[in-house]
Amino acid sequence: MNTPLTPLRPVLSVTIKQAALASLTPQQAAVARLSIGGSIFPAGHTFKLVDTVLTVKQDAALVFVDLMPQANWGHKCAYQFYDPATGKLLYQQDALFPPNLAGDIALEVFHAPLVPIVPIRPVAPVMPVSPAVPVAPATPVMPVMPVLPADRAIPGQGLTRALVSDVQVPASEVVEQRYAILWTSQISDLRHVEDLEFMWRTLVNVYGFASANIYVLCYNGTIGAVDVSGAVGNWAGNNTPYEMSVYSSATTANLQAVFNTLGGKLKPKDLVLIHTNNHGSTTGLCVDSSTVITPAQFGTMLKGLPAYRTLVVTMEQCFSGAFQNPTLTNSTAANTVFASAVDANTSSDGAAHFDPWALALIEALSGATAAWGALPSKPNPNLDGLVAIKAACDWAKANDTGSDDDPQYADQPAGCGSRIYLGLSPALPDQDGDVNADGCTELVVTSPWGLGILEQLGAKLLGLVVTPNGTRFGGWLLNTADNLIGPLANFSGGSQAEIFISSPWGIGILKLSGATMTCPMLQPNGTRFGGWLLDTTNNAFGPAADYDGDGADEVLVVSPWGIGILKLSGSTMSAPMMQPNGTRFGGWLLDTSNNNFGRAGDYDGDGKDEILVSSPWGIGILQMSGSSMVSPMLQPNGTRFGGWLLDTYNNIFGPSADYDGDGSAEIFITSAWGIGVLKLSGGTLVSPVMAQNGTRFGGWLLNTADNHFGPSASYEGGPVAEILITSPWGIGIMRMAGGTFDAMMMQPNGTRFGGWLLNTADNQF
Amino acid sequence: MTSPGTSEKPDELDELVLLHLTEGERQRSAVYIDSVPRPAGRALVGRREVQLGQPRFVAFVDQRPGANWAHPCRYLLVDPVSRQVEAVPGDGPPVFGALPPSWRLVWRSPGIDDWRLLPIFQQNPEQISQKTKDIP
Repeated sequence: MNTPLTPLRPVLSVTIKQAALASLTPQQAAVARLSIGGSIFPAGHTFKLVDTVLTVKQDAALVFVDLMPQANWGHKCAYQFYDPATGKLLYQQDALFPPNLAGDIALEVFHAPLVPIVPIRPVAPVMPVSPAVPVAPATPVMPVMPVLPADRAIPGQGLTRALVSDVQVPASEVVEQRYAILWTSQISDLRHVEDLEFMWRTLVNVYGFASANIYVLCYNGTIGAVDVSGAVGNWAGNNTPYEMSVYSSATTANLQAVFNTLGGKLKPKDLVLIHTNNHGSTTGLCVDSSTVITPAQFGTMLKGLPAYRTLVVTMEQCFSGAFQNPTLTNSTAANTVFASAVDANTSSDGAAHFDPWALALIEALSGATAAWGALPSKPNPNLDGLVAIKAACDWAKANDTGSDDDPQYADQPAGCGSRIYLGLSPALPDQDGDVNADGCTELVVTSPWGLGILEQLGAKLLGLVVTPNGTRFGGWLLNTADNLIGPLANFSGGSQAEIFISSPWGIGILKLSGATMTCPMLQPNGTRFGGWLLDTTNNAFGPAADYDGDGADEVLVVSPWGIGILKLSGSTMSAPMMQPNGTRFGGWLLDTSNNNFGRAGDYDGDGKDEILVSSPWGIGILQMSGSSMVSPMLQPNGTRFGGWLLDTYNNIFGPSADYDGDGSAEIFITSAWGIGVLKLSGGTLVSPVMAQNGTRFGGWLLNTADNHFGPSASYEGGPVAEILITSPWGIGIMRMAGGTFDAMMMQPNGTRFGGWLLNTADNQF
Repeated sequence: MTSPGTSEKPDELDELVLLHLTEGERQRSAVYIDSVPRPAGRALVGRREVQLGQPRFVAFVDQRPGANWAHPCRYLLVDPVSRQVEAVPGDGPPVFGALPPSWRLVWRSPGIDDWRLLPIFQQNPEQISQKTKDIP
């Protein structure tokens, strides 16, 4: 008979969790599930494990290590016993069954596999009895996220990825998959196949789609076309062999089979791109000379998919516009974009190579010609240089050389295409902040399993909150499959950052409270915040900043209707500012279909944050003023800011920070020419720093073709922000010094930072 | 007179077809003739089935050469005996891909680049050249 158990102190629970995580090899961490008992098991306590009994040798806390968490019992597992006074590992026993088969022992899961384990197979059988000194792996086993986005680094502390890798933080690929279906028919010409190859290369090489996620249905299951006899030869784009892998022949059954496959895979945050390049008839999309897939059939296929985040359908074939309504009507995605070369009554143009509209569309998406040359002009990018689907379609329409084409575009909810990108969503959109008000920044990480809040503690990360999906934070039900985390900001003022969270249901603000979180605000879609109608299907949130200067942060919200600033107000939000498209903020004409908002900062040093906005016309800085905004600065493309020639099509706006330490934020800007720092000066900007590629910052050779900039932070402490630069050579930290930058630190790849082996080819910052 | 079942005197046949082109087709089209006549009975012209009382030569008028299918086109059915020509509207080519070697190009409007023409399977190198004619 077991004696009553003594509860384990929370502080020891944390220490033991850390020790248990540290004892895992990266391979084990990727597959094992760890859970901890909430009690101290006295010496002599017995666990009945079906056909054996495990007896506790001395008073101990238990960590149960399931090495094959997706297998049925029994399978290999381990019992780790820890000293309840010191948290140190005492000993470990291997077993085949868990302690709670009967459900009588409560275990808290604090680490779970990040990816499904398929197929089930044995893993490393045992773990070391004594925890080894954790050493960061030279190359992380799992992809990991950038640790410190933008300007939130801990002053004077280098929070490194090595620490994060110890707890196997996932990249967003784990929870956000991107799929594509590329279709030609059995009667396609080679030019159609050429388009597919261009799209395939763009998805894989530009956007990083996994080739296994691209289903190419082409001709008879090979790369071929009816106007080619024999081998197709090299691809017309750059005269190299075709790279795409054909999944199957282009038949209706095979297309339905792909939809069925996707139906079993799609998750709420996934994206699907469907591109058809082919012939079409008034009755539908050609399959062969006598068969079509009708718009209604296509709609039925779409309707059979589960809910997911984004559907993008692009169609080149004749009469393709007939698929617009069935696509929008039957899509199960939260956001749907449809674009086609022609309307429902028009034939689309061809060319000797590539179909003109498809070529232009894919050029816009790839940012290059099929020969990988420069485009004569560029699609309108956002502040990061990324091209949204809407911008790509606009560019394709403007640059389509098919005189009979009549490109069509529609999105649902209206305007969503302006914020849909084929790349992964940023892994950490403002997912860091001082959530426990200890003066240091913590990280919020998510996985398909749940959510964690990690805090640096010495050389490790401590899990302040480690919670599986299904947990309720006050009224908020955690589900990382469709919850979007961030931005983190001080919405209620004070020093504690709260977490802004949104889902298809609505929004909430989470606040750390002990080892869990409360939810001081949560509201469903349909709620009015003042006049703002909440709709998370088409509202985009962020950045958060103190726009009104009251010491509490507000969040910018953008929709197809216009923009607003939402402010925490008790258990709901208010909208101290909201204005529709068409409003003039001073001289700036608001149009959320092509305005890009971001890079908040106190550009004028007045204690209130402003926001940078760009458009195809130029850039502006918007400042909250009463219930509207004003634009203390707006300038069109072609303006010279000192020597810097503004061109929003070719400029990328890096992190804003106080690079000169004067109390005002400056804008870091890059182009193919070089870099600059732009500073607000009256109604315009000046450029205290401009440096052409080839300039040396100390030993650092500037080359914007392969240098990446950011995050910015005060890496040495103090009021001056520095900027991290990475390149294929290595990394550096640069500080503004007069009219140039100095390299405070630079190290080549291969350098070891403690145990971390620097390799910018696979390290992300 | 051209005997049914042969391709003799193609110029005469070509001229007859070209006479029946519309002004728009003269300005922008590519025209092909199958030198092997269809026998009497049911015949497929494009995706349309027709009933032929007599053997007919078939000409294909691509009104938007180079555009993706489907797009407007016409089939001209030529009675080699009576020299009567019947037009059948269509929206697809005789076949997808290369035309059989019995087909030949008889008209291309000015400005129609080579790539806009339908490929024709060639039986031997001597038949490679594609013939064009002036409008009579």
